Amino acid sequence: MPGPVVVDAADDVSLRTVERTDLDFLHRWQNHPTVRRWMPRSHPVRRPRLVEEFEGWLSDREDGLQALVCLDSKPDGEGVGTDDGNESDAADESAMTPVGFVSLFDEHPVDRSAVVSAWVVPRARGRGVASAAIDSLLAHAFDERNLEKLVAGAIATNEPSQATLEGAGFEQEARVRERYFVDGEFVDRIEYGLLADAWRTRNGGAE
Amino acid sequence: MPGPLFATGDPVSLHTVEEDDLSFVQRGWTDPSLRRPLSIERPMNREALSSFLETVDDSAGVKLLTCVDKEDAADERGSAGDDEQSPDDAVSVGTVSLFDVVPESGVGSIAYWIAPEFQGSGFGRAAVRRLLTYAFDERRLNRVRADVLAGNDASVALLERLGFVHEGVNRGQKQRAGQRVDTNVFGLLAHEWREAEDRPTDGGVN
Repeated sequence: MPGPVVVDAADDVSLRTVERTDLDFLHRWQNHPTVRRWMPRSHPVRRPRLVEEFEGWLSDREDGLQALVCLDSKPDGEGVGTDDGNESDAADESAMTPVGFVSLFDEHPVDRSAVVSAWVVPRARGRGVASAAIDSLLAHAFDERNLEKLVAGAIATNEPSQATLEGAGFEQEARVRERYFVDGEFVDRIEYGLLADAWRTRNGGAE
Repeated sequence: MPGPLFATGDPVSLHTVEEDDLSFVQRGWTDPSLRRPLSIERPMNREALSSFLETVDDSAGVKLLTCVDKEDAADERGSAGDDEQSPDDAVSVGTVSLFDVVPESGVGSIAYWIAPEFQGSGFGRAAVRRLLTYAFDERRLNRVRADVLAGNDASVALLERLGFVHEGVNRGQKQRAGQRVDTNVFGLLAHEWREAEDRPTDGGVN
């Protein structure tokens, strides 16, 4: 079950710490074709490796931030529900349903730069969930971690992710040609960047 | 003293980096004129450098010493030799590196430097060219990337001369002297490399 909120919720979307009980969710979706094809990720992730990662960098306070994207489930079962067999307990005041994962990593202490990435499960797409999650992550990155520059990427065929990044204020900076091999052919990666000044101008400063 | 010969790319040769070469490599990583374009903010002592070089052996990348014949080195330095250099024929002039290799994607990045007293003679270009042959023809990469700090015109010229394409600018990616500084993204694809190599060249490689 996801841990406490790490960034203030936007609407019903919150970012929460990854706890050991959330590994089933990550294990399932990191391997699922509908998620990994967009990363893209071509290697399976077996449970021991995921546990090793969890005990290593996922639990390392010095290394960026990793968080679950969670949706508020209504106590009477409305809302999202889950598809991993764990129905929200109607007795919980608010059950959090993990629907995705965000990561802030490769923090460079001198340049105050970092990379951001995010994914959400298919049924949570097209509803602004990823956008809300990224907005929360950016606020954390710029206002709490005092980063000056963030970069993100999307494979050239991933238009929804590009739209999400552009909607969050990222600008296209480079076309990394033939960066990935997907479905039997080379695909470009679009690199995006966002500077703290630009983000602040857009967001009117810290809330 | 340079390690054993690994590849030749006239007028340079690429050698393995061994313990005896640490002082020379350390120079490249501490000399401000070299370490700043390379974005090495923390100069390393030899122990740290030795540990770092072990990680290069573990990873998919390579780091090689760029060397020239003693005669070619003497032409550049105006002296017949240097007490700190090898008594052998090969004189170290810089290094080249292939790193961040992702085999399933066929991509890798490169970095390189030439000591100031040996710059301006095409040694850097020859060394990178030989590294590219290694990357494309031995490591079967499809794509090589190089990131260059804004203002490093000599490096940009070297890459463009080898056929690299400017793919974009990571704006304000670095911070230097209180200012955000851009880095330039360059990429070269295997088929571009091969088409360029098929044209008449000015030097042989093996």
